[in-house]
Amino acid sequence: MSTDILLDRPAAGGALAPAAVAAVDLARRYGEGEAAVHALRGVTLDVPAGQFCAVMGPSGSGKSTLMHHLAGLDVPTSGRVLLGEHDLTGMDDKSLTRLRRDHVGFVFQAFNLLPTLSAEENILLPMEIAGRRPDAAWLEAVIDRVGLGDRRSHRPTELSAGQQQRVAVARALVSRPTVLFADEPTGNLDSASGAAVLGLLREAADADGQTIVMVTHDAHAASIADRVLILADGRIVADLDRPAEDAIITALHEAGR
Amino acid sequence: MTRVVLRGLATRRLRTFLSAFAVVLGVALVTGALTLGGALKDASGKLKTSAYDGTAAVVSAPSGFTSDDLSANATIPERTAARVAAVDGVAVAAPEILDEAKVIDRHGDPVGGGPYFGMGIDAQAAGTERVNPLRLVEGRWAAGPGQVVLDQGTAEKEHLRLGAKVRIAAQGPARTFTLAGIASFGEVKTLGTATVAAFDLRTAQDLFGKPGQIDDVLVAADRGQDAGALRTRLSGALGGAVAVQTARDQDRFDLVGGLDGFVGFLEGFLIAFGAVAVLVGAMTIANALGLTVAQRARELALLRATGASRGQVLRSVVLEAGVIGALGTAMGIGAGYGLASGLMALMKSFGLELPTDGLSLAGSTVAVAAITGVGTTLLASLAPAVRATHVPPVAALRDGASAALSPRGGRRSTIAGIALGVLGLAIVGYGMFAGGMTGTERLASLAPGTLALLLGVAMLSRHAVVPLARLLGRPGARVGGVAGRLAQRNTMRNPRRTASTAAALMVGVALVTFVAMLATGLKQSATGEIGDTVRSEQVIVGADGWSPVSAKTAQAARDAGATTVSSIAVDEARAFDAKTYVAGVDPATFSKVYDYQWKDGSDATLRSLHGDGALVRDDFATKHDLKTGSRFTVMAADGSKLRLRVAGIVDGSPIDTMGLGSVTVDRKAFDATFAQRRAKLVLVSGASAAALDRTLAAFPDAQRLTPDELADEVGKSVDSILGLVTVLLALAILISVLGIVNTLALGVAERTKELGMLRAVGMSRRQLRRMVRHEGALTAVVGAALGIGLGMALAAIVTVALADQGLVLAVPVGTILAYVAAAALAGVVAAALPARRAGRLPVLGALAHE
Repeated sequence: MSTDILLDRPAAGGALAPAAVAAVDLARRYGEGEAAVHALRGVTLDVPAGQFCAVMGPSGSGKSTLMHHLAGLDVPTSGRVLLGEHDLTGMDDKSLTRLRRDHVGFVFQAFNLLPTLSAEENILLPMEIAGRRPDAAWLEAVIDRVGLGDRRSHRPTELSAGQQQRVAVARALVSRPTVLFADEPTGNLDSASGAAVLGLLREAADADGQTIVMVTHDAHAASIADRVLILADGRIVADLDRPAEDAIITALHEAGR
Repeated sequence: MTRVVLRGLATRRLRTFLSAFAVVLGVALVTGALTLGGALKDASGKLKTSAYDGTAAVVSAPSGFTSDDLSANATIPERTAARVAAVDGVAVAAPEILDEAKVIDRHGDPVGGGPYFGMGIDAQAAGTERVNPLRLVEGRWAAGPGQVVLDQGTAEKEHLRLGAKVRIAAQGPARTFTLAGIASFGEVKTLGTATVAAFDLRTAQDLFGKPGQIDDVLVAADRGQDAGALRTRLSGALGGAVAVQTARDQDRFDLVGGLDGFVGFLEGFLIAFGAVAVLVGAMTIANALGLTVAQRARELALLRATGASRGQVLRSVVLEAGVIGALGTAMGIGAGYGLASGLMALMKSFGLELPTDGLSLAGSTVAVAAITGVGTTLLASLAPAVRATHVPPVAALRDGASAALSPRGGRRSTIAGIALGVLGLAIVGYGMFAGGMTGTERLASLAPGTLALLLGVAMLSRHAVVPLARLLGRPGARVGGVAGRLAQRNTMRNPRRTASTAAALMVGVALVTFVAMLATGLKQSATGEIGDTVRSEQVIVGADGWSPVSAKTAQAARDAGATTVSSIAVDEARAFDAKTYVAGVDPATFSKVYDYQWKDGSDATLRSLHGDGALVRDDFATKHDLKTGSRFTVMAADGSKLRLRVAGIVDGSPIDTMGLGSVTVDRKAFDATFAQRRAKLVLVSGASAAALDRTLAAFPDAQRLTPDELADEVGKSVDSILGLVTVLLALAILISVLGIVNTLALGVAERTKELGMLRAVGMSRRQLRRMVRHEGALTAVVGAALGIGLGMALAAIVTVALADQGLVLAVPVGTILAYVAAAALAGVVAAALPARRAGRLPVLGALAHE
């Protein structure tokens, strides 16, 4: 199924590209009654295959919650999420797990590598969990691209922060997920390492047509995306197409008002 | 500070509970052992009081010693009773017979496991109740040839009512009696494995082949008569033909020597297991507290940063241990009281019923249990407490405070581990190989040596964890897929923690392996000896495997058409001032059905055995420096002496599987000296099994076996002891499983974030649970592997050292594999709770976990 999507995927940014991930009137409420928190209040969006989409917004705007829903990590109060050909509505934990396994890649702010595994083993972990064999050539290409050729047998503790996040990017890329979700991927990195990681994501979108959804609150990071969504109070308040950094800052400023 | 500790304990409820439970089991076993021991001593005391204390004197045949075999002691003429009665100051002079009579159950097997008391006493004679240990509970005393009175325990066990028909086997074929009455032995209802059948005197004389004879006269003194003075007067009046003793000195029911000795042994035996449980519990608690300290490093640092002194931190950990210890001890004492009856039931299920008269919890038992429980917990807390004081206050502000804790003292503990291990080996080696020690002393030296060795290996085990987990984790990694591989890595992640968890299991498994190895060796040497020597087609032995059978079974074998029948009588004797057993054989027939393994001599030596000629076993010859032609003397129970000359020396195991003793003489010489007329063993050839079974039906206390079956019987009795030991050690293993639960639960808590990531990238709950289970199983198998290695090494040392005692080195491969499988299973069971917790973690919550 996933391979079908990959093969049929048209050129990046094509107007008629099918949605890799979409949300319809997505709402999420935590708690009940007086104490209820409305994290998402009706979000509808559509990320076409091959698009690199950044999600921004002030703290508490719902950007992380949105990503969790799109990735099948959380279940909405109402509304629907479509990932590839799959409608996540009503899926149980088992199906959601399988969906994440087969269609989703993650890059976390804290890298979240297993300290017991080498860099290469960490990269292969999602494939192993799924019981799939990696495409050897693709694996080499990914390791080569993230520049870890000589460090593949190192443990995470023997790697710098930037190297660890590059391992995490490789781990997300190697299974060719339908969507790669990145949650503040540069949040724990210095600017040079952060730039390297962003470059890798951009390259994945350009060279492989990898769909990427990245949550960030760094306008500079967001500026390398094809599209920037800005959330405030659980709603999309701006949808910018290839904005410059200045435009993003202005939009964020407005959203924060 | 106290509040911080109590609050912490309440927060870490699972660990507090598991740690306390580790104390509970150890304390319970100690309490149970002491309570049961107390109850047995109490029962034994009551038995002695009721059996002996009304009796001012016992008049019996003068003897060299009192034989364990009731039927082998010399008798006196019945008329002695009248002479005793005539002595001034004697109020009652009751003639008594005390021999061996087996009560036969519905299935044709003897009831109980011995001793099988067969009494003859005219109980209704005036005054006899003052000296009769039996108290009538129901019915009448036996009067006349067809009547018997049984002890209450036996009657109840067999559901016998008054008037029931009971078969009883004594000297000849079994006879049927009518149950006239039921009696208690003093105030004690159950005599354990013993049974009592009481007849009137005449019937007993007939039944036991002692016409006109009695075993003793029981004397009660006139009121106000001093017992000591009366005994002096009796001795003077009766002359040297009889002996006058106190009942306790004579000890005809073997309560002082036999029962008390057994009770002491049993108590020690159970306490030893309690000690093992306490040791394992202490290791588990030390591990749990170590985990708590590591996990709380930041909290401890915060306490230090806000001004708590090192002393306060140390005391907080010790206090935590104290609370756990007190909790566990209180529960353990309660549980132990309940366990006492459980232990009794356990003993019973292994064929060891105990004489008791109700359990009670003694103050001294509570004190010992409390000191054991709280004391060991506090001791176990010292190392973690000291480690807690090493947390620098600045760690409160840093990440990875726990990392700062672990590597300390690594080299020191390695050196200490090596030192302890070497010390342990030295003690074991000295105990095993140094000269001038008895086998018992050698075995006793095993306890401290093994303890030191176990602790030493436990301290060193963290060096073995990584290679062992790598090797033993392979099958799991193959079967478990990614979950198995991750589990294997997790086991190797913190070798110190895995090691201290596995070490507790190691102790139990090492001991179980050690015992299993020795038992297998014992079994092989015993069964091997039977196979090497017995050449007859069939063997007749006691139904219980050890007590002698009627000599008339030999005639029964001939009646069945046997061509060769050789009957062997064995009696207790004294030689070189030590207990030994002497066998009397008929050289002509015995040489046809028994192959000695000769050290010095040949089959011709056996065939020509006569007069003062004796064959001695080589260990006996070595011990007493005997060579062919040497002379020595043996003494029978009645004090008569037999001078012997060594005619040949034969090979044989001191374990003496068939109970043939260390000296063999011609039957004629035997009969002239020893009172034993029954047969320990009858070797039979030329008769069919069916025909033998038919003619032996009249002797329900005898059984016919092939030599192979006889070997199996010996094996079974070894297995039953092994089973009992294994069950008792299982308790220690259970405690160590609690430690695995602790460690896994902490692992799950610590790695929450990792687990969240695994779930996010697609690991299913099931895979996560499997990962935790695999980690549990692997930890357990690492512990089992260490234990099996250590147990086998110990067993090998002991076997080599005791090779002259006939022990064989044998590896019970199947049993050991079963232990590994059981350990793996225990690990999986231990992982159940932590695995469930891991599986239930909400993905997002886990990812956000700090």
